Amino acid sequence: MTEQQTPRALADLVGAAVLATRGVAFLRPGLAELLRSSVGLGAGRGTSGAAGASGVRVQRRKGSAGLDIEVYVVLSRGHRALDVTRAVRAAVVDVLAGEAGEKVSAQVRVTVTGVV
Amino acid sequence: MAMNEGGTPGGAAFGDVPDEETLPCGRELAQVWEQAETGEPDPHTADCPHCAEALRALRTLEGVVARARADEPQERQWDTAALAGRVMDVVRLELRPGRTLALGEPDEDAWIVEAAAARTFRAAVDALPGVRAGSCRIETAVVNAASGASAPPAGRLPRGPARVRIEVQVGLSWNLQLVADEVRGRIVEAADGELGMRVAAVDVVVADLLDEDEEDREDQEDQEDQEDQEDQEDQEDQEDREDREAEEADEVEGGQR
Repeated sequence: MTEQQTPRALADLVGAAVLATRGVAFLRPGLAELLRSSVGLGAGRGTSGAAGASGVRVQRRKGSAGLDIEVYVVLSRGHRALDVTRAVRAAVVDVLAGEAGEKVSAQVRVTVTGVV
Repeated sequence: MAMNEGGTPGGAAFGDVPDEETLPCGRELAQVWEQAETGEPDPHTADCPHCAEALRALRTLEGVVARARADEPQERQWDTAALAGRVMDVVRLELRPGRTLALGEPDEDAWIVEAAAARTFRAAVDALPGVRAGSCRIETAVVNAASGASAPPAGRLPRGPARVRIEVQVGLSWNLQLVADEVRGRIVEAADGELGMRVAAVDVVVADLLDEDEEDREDQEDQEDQEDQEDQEDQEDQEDREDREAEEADEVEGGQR
């Protein structure tokens, strides 16, 4: 990976690539945070940043150089969900390849959380 | 396992607002949004940071949904009310996603929440004339321990062909066997064409018959309201079921495998 990229910065890049994928309406907006008093308002700004950090999670795998990437998307109607998840995966892999400059071991999980 | 964090495991009737949709200030999220939509002044909301944040989130969501609509205007006519409803749907799905079902092949890590899949199936069935879709549940085959399949991630059903159970209300003019076949056909078609999910079986339960007046009325109803209600009820039922399953988990694992 991407020694240069923090997980958060990488998540932003991944999020942008996912949003550009045909059939993706938006990333999971993370509204749950709004409703939980444990989250301070200042810390909850991610929700209003739209497409938000809660739609993409990037974690370094413990004990290895690999990454675990989880993407949560809301799709537009009229697109086959499986095809969109495959396109999303491809977009994520492209980002990783571009950013890492070398082969990155990453587990990419794509979850459709809604269709609008 | 259960997703109802501090929620209403007893299964509130539709129309009750679960605790999860209440902001820290005590206002209900839907109420704050509806007031903002109607322009009704509210001194509390004007000064409350939680309400302000909720409204910012609403505007953001409206923006992304509207852009999605603008990109693909041919797909569906959306009016403002429907848009607000869809935004709330997104919130509800996020708060109570239920279980998650696998899509695609075993080497793919692709998933869809049950509520979204069920909604797709119900919409496909509702498109049949004189048929109204009700509750829809989706199960997958129990993992065969001998197959070497790895356990699914937490909260996700084991990978395998789905078994769909759907309740329908049908017009009196339908032959019940025929309508069941039609419903199965629509669901199998939607599963493959719209989702990419393998379906092994579809159980159709005719829960009620609609007389002609009801059929006519159904055609004029806002189907989105119906879908919202079914989503809510399914999720609440799901939470109850998950609670029961959690209690029975030891028994099942010890006795039936």
